[in-house]
Amino acid sequence: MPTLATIRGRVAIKINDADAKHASFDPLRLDHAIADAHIALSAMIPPPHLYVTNAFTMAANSDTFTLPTAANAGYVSFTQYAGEVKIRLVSDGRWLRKVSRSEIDALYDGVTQTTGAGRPRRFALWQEMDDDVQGRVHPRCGPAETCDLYVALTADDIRDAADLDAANVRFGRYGSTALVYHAAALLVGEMDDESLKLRRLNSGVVNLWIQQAQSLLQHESFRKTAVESRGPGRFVT
Amino acid sequence: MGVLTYDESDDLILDTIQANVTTNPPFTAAQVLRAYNEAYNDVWEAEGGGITQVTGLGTTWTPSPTFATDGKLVGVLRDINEIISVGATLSSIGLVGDATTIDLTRVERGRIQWLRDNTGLGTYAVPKLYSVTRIRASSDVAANVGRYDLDVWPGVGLYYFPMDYVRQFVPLAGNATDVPDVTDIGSRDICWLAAMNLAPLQNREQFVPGLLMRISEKTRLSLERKRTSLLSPKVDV
Repeated sequence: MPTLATIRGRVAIKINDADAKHASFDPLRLDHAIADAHIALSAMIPPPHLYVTNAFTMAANSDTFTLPTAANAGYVSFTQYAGEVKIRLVSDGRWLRKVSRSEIDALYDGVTQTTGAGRPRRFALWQEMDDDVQGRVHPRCGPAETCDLYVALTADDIRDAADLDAANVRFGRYGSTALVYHAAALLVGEMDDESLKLRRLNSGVVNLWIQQAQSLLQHESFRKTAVESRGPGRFVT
Repeated sequence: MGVLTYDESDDLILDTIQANVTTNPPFTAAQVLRAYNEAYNDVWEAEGGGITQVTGLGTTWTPSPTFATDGKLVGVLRDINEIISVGATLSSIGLVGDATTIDLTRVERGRIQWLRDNTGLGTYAVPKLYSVTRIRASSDVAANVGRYDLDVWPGVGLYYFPMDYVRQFVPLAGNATDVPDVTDIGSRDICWLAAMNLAPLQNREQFVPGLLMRISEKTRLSLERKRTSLLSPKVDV
């Protein structure tokens, strides 16, 4: 997995800007172009998944919870959920069934009891304005329930890393190369004629590189999907 | 023979204008030295002088190494004509170009000020950008003029900032083994130019056209450009 410093070097080579004394773009500009391209490309491919044990705990007698927002190990940005959320109770190892918020509310319709006696079996999620993901379970928890999480996450914003040079770009080879092409195209697109001449570049290369990035990104997407595919065979118990 | 020493140059100058005599010499040693240094100045202008490499010790900037994280350093040297590049290293003896020296990118001071005033742009563990500013201190005494201060971003403690720079012009003192900081051809051009300046004073101006033919093309073009700029506002002809 390449670091941002590696990607920066590759982008600088691609746009002939590998000379600190006569740079068209300083390292900060390069890094921001890469970070922006990283987020833009990440949004076009399947999100990464993460299985976190003992991720959070629902309080005793509660019927609501908040999904954790702290950055997971290996990530630099606070957690943003990308859709798929699966919750497993540690106490009995069972996965909760995801239902709609309306279904959960219907199950509590007319219920005034504030203490629980059993274990939750289903849950619903909604997102609030501050980006927190809230949830409600049914039935209400008896004792506190610790939960494992299997989730899809949005990509990190590399700029949240404590040291940008060492920040990991979480793409495979296809994705990393797509990122180089895309960031380089963004930067060349910003160059005026004088800079293009200095860098010995033609502005027509922007479209070429964007196409190359899209093609590689498609392969990155295929690669990710293929890993999760179980193939055409029949399910055997 | 390489770059001529002052002793060799002195002989060449006087030989050329047939004035290398010990009895009743037409020029004093001081006159020859002045003519030499005027010519040296012209050739220095054409050739630019060699690069001086210095470490980032306290003889270059203070504090050294940086103990604060504001990235502001005060220049110590007073003989800087042009700063070529500045690096950052944790080694007190590190120079620009060393494997462990980071090559910093030069930017305007205003950009560094702006970066200091704004957040959320990403953080780095090592310096990335630098700016040098010629600062006028409170009074125009020798210790205050010609001072260049250094601003680096981000400010990181414990770093030294070695530098490559071109010195200001320093005339020779006239010691026999002194050599000018020019090329071998340049050191000969100095002699021809000095001889051209002295010849008319000895009523031997007829030597001047012959001496002109000996001057290298590079120096000739530089002098021609300088003469044109002195005579005409159209300096780019």
